[in-house]
Amino acid sequence: MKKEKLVELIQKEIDGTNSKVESRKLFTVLENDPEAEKLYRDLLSLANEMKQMPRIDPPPYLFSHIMNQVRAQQAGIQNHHSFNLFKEVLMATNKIFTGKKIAVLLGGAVVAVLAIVYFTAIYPPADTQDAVGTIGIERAERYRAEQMTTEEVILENEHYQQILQSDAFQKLAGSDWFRDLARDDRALAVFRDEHVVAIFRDEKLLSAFRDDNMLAAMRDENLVNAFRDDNMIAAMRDQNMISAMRDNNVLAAFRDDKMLAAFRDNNLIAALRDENIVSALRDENLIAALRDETMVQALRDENLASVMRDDKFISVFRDENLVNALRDEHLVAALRDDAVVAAFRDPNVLAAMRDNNLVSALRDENIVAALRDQNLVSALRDNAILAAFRDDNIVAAMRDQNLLAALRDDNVIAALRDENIVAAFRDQNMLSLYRDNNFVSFMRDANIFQVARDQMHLQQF
Amino acid sequence: MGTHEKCDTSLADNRHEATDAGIILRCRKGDAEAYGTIVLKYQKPIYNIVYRMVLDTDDAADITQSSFIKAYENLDRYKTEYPFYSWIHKIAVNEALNFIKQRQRMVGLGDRDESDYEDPETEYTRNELEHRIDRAIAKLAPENGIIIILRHFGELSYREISEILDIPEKTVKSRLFSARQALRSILQ
Repeated sequence: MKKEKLVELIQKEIDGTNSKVESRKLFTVLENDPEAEKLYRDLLSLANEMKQMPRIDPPPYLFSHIMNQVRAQQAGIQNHHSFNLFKEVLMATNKIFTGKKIAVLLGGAVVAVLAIVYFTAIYPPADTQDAVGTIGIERAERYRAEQMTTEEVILENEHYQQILQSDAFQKLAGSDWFRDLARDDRALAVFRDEHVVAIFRDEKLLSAFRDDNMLAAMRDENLVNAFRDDNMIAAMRDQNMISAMRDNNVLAAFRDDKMLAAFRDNNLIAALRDENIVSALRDENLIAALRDETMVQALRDENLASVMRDDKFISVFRDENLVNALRDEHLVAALRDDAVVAAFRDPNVLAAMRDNNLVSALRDENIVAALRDQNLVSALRDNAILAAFRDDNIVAAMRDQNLLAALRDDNVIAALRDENIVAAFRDQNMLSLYRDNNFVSFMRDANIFQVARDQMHLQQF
Repeated sequence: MGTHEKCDTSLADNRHEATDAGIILRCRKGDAEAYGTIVLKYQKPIYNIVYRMVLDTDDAADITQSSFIKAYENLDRYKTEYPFYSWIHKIAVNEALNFIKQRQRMVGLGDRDESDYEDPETEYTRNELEHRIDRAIAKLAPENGIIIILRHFGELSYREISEILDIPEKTVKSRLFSARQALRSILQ
């Protein structure tokens, strides 16, 4: 039998699609071909093993999440109103600029901006055949006195005219979330802000609005409420934030469900106004870490948010190795611990963290690996060890090149992972020894470390 | 995270029901609730295929969700003469492949091994054999890995796989054999 045919019969036998005749033919061949027989047995066993692997139930929330999005979309489509609501909204904005030839809807007409953005970004330009009314002929001078008609909307920009007169816009105007947003003074105030308007003119931001997650988020009641939040409004007006929102990485983060949830948190919003944080947010590695759920939870902690405003601290966070370490749930758990956060607020610890030597140590792969170790993380939660970090001597020692070199040493890292060593660090006597100037200077001695590395192995030491 | 259980009902048992097309027609007429029947029917097989591709329960849930939403948004483009399962699988596979590419771009190929893709809770509950097989599949070339997953975890036929991946059945067979052999040698 040709090899090709044999292979086909083996496959079909494994997949249970051979006829009886084909099966008999195959087994006759296999009896006389031990190599083919072994191949068949191996592949069959592999297939059986995969068959026995469990199927996983989707998370219980999945169905409702999908259906909520589906319902929201359907509601947007079914709510057909003509321009009535739009007129109402325009009146509410109380500010439409009309020129001799140009009626400028952008700027003051907040909701119009929102609508234009929505449709410029999300919907393709409406087919001109669908456009209704007269374009660019009459001015909307009478709109305050009487109900405005479609024909009275005067815009020089044909694209906007098409948008405003399209079916798609009418669908938007009829949707509940848009109605709610358009009636809320504070939300409207956001869109009146020239910085925010500038954002909406930005192509990158517009592309973000085309994203499914972003669209779904815009329909999300929580996010609409977030837009009404003073903190969020203030954050959106902040120049730093606006410039960050034009960054691809930041935009990607905004599309992430978890990040959107985090962005609603007051503490995080406060932190987001900080220039250092905004600049850190442009870092791809940091964004990747920020999308991690454990990290997002940690970010909601007020203590941690306040620590994160320090620029040196942020520079450490930008490092790829550290970012990977930050994805470790043990380390994140430690970061949420009050005692650890308190230590980070300690001037000595912060001073140490701003030290270039220490920062360079923190970027070292071995040290990062050590940081991922559960024993070390649990040690970090220990008040005695944290107290030691606040000690000037220890902090000075941590800045020492020799000590940092030692911390990068595999043996030292291994030692740090050792439960006994960690326990020793918790011992008050041991800590007081570390606070002793003589001992610290002894520890800084390169020769001592050389000996420790090459001969003694720190565990035994 | 979902609980592990043995799948005792195969997709093949009910996927060819003519009702899919009827449900889709109802959805197109504006009956959003009808889509729930589709989601309930296919969410588990889709989720399992995506999970084996990305090896992370949260990511698998996100991708499954976006696949169903994308399908809903594009129902007008779906041709009812073709099976719906094939269409939704195609969308999900593409979404998962895009996600994997994006993840590789973000983290950098070779910077992590496939065990890093798993969340610790999942990792903890999985048995060693399952873990070994998942790792071995992750080492296969993507075009071979996806065929193994669709055949063994999606329990799809050669024809169905060929429809989903837009390749001839003959290619499915030859790739499946290469993939199985490669998997065997990785595991040995």
